[in-house]
Amino acid sequence: MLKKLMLALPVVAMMSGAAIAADDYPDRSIRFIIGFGAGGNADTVARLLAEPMTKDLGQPVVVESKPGAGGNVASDFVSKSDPDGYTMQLMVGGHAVSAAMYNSQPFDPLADFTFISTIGQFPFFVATQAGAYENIEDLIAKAKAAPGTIKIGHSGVGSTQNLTGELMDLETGADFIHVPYKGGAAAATALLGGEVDVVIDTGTIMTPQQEAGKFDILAVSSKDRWPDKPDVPTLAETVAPGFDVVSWTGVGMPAGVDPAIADKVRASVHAAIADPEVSARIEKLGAKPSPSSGEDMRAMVESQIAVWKKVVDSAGIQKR
Amino acid sequence: METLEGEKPETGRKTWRQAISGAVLIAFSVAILVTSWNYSTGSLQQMGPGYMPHVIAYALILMGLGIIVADLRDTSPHYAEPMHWRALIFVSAAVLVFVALIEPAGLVPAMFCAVAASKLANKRSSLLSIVIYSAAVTLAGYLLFIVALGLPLTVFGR
Amino acid sequence: MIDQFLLGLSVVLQPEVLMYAFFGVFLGQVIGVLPGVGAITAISLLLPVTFYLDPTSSVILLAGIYYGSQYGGAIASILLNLPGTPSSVVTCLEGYPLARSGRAGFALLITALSSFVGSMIGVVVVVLAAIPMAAFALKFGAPEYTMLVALGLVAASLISSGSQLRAFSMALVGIALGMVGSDASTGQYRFVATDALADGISLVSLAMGLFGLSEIIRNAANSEARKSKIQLSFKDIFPSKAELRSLVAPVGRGATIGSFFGALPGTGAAIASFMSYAFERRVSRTPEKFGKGHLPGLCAPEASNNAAAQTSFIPTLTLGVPGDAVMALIIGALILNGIIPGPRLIVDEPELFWGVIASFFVGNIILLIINIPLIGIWVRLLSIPYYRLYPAIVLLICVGVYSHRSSVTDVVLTLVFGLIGYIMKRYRFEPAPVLLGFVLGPMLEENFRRTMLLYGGDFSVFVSRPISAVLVGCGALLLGFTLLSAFISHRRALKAKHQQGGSYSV
Repeated sequence: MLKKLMLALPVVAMMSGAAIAADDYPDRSIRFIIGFGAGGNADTVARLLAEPMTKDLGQPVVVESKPGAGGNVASDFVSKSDPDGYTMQLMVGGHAVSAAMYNSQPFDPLADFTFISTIGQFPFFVATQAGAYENIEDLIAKAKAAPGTIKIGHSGVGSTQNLTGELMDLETGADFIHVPYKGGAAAATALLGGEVDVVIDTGTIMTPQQEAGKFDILAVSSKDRWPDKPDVPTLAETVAPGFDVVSWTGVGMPAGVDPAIADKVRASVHAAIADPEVSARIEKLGAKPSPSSGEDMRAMVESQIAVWKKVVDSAGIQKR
Repeated sequence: METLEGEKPETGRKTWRQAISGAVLIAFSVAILVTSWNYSTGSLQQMGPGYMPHVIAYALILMGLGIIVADLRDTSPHYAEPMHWRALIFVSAAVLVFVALIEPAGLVPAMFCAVAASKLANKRSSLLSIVIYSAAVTLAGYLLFIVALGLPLTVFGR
Repeated sequence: MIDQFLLGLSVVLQPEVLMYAFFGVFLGQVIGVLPGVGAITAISLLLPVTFYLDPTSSVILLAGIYYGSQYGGAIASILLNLPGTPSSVVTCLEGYPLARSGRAGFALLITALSSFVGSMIGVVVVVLAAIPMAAFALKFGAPEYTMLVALGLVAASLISSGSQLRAFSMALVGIALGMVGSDASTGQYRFVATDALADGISLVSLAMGLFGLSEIIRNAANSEARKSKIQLSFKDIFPSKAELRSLVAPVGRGATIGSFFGALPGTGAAIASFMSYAFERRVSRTPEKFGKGHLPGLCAPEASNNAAAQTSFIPTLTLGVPGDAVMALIIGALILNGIIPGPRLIVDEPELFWGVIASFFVGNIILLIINIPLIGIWVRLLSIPYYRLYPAIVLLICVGVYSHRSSVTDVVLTLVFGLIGYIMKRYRFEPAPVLLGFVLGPMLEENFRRTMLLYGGDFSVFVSRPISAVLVGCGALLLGFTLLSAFISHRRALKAKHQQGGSYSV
């Protein structure tokens, strides 16, 4: 009796599995996968969107953290998920970096994804302990004078922060030691304690320490000065002409999502970004709100992969 | 409930039984070594992913040898309860049933079947009591996990 | 300081804020009882709610969940041997034997009291010494963390009641299990047999298997109704004055150790409770009583992990750097509310800073008040015969582990660890050091590798830096002392053998 019951249950369950239609979408909760630990930039952005999207779509959008290997664990997971519209991913600039850093990835960074929209764009800042160096030229000069002594803390091997640092080595001819930490906050702590000399990370990590007078922000990685901090010079205008690194956040899904569902999600993402409160918060995170079409996002990712591949190759960075 | 009734001292244990603790540890370490053999060790300054696994595996082999020596010299009797085969089998079955059902069938069927299976671990269970008990626990679980806590779990299959 | 604390109190004692404090600790406690559904799950679920609250209320709510769950974790450990967090693993060691000998109510009350005292000491430390402690915590670099964690692992051999060789080898097994997943320093995968292991083995499934499931397998066949010696009278539950007096010193030591470790970002409550357990055992005149329901071994770690839960807010609030995932979530909540936590928080937002700290004070009082009447209810749970109770526990483990990461593999692994735990016990291996190694192993590897990278592979850095040198000294002393006492007991046993022709054990 019991045995029969147990055998029958999965069959009943399978029969009740309803067909998926865009009209009914979404009829249950949507997983929003992030590739980084809770509390970081990615997590915050995901939660910023999850809230209004939940209201808009009428089903809970649940943020789920799958950290590991610079976001690759999450990307792999998402690329292999059902393209039923119930799994989406908060993508970050690291998606393009990984494509350049890895010899082989368990997924195709372009073909295995449906690109929905970018959310925001943000640069990286080069910071030191307050008063340690006069300016970015001073830092680079001292690094060149004593190769292999000045330490850059970054948020993990293969992170955009890490590669930006390596690119700085390459473009300026300086030779830093690159020390991995578990996330930007840990790297910032190490800089506060004087364990490393330089940290390259986002505005959210740096700004509070700068305002408290603990850090000096010496330079920004974007091509033009960032509107938030007009006094901070760019690397391009000082020590590394042509230097331009801007990272981004965006939303992706597994390849093969029904276009009608993708459009529905895209509209929801755009509506969320358009919400003045959300966009104000995105700006507070040091990013420019930048909704886009799926094609534009895909093209942007494609061109960034090409750029990073060139960087990795010409810098002679060991691929994985 | 750790009564000593029904337990007998394992007198006259064979040597292999005495050496087995250490041997299993050594086997485990060798498995670590084999799996991590191709991980690059790097240098002391720039350690690769294989460095620490190798160090730990070698240390464990030493520990295993030490335990074999200690156990062989140890002649004091140790008490071991008889194996609880029935409980072992049905508790395992309960967990596996839960695993098999949670994603295809959802939380409620998985809970019901898992409770029913684990109830069999004890002889004191008639069919009727199993059904009533499992239904009650399933209801309680539903109220706790879904209604009260709102965990993001599927209640019935998709 | 006092003025500022009073300012904080005035914030917390507003009825609405007080309600959030109450709701937070209550929810935290309930959630903490359920293994696997830890503080992180609860906080993530509630994060969107904090959108509608002012920043002070949100942090008070989330913080309440965090330290409320610290206490709730102890309840499941004492009653059912189900540790959901590393710190409650230690609670199992003494609490569960006490409950089995019919003194569950007593154990819960002692736990509630030591948790309360520990928390209060932690709050006082936060009020008086937040800024200097944060500055001190920054002196801890990679070499210091390496040595601190190594010290914790040496202490692992002391938390076992059996052979120290066996205990230490179990700690190594724990380290090995902790290596599964992606390597933190290079991002490369190690021992990842299936994709589900890419994030590593889940602590919850390891703890639930080794402790919870193996215990169920051992007892499920037992058909006898539990002897109804549930004692609920005042005399049975409340400790005598002499007992209380004997607990002052362990609680004080536990709270001191906890306050210290809590303030170090990244180490937190887990290492604190293990350390204070090992310490109690070392200073005890009756170390052989540990593992069988010895009170100092219960209350010192409880005081310790609750003190640590309070002081772990120091780096978060004063430096803006989160020590663990829960703190990161709280910082996330602040950022979402438009406040960027950092060194200036205390100056720019004094009401928030001191309000949150005062809420710790108020929240712990609430926690104590709601706990004492609950003890009666919890204890009655044990009057249910075990053969009726255990299937529900199996279910609690399955759902708890599954909901932790929505991973079926985690549940299967829980079963595997349950079987291993069952067999281990038969061969006199104890599970607690495995857990310790599992938690500390990744920290050890990460910091050791970073030290070698920062200081060019030079080992002398461990003794040339003062704090690190002190830690090395402590470790050496502990090791020497342990070897010495092992040698002495070995000699005694040999002597006894010669006298009675008996045998000795290693």
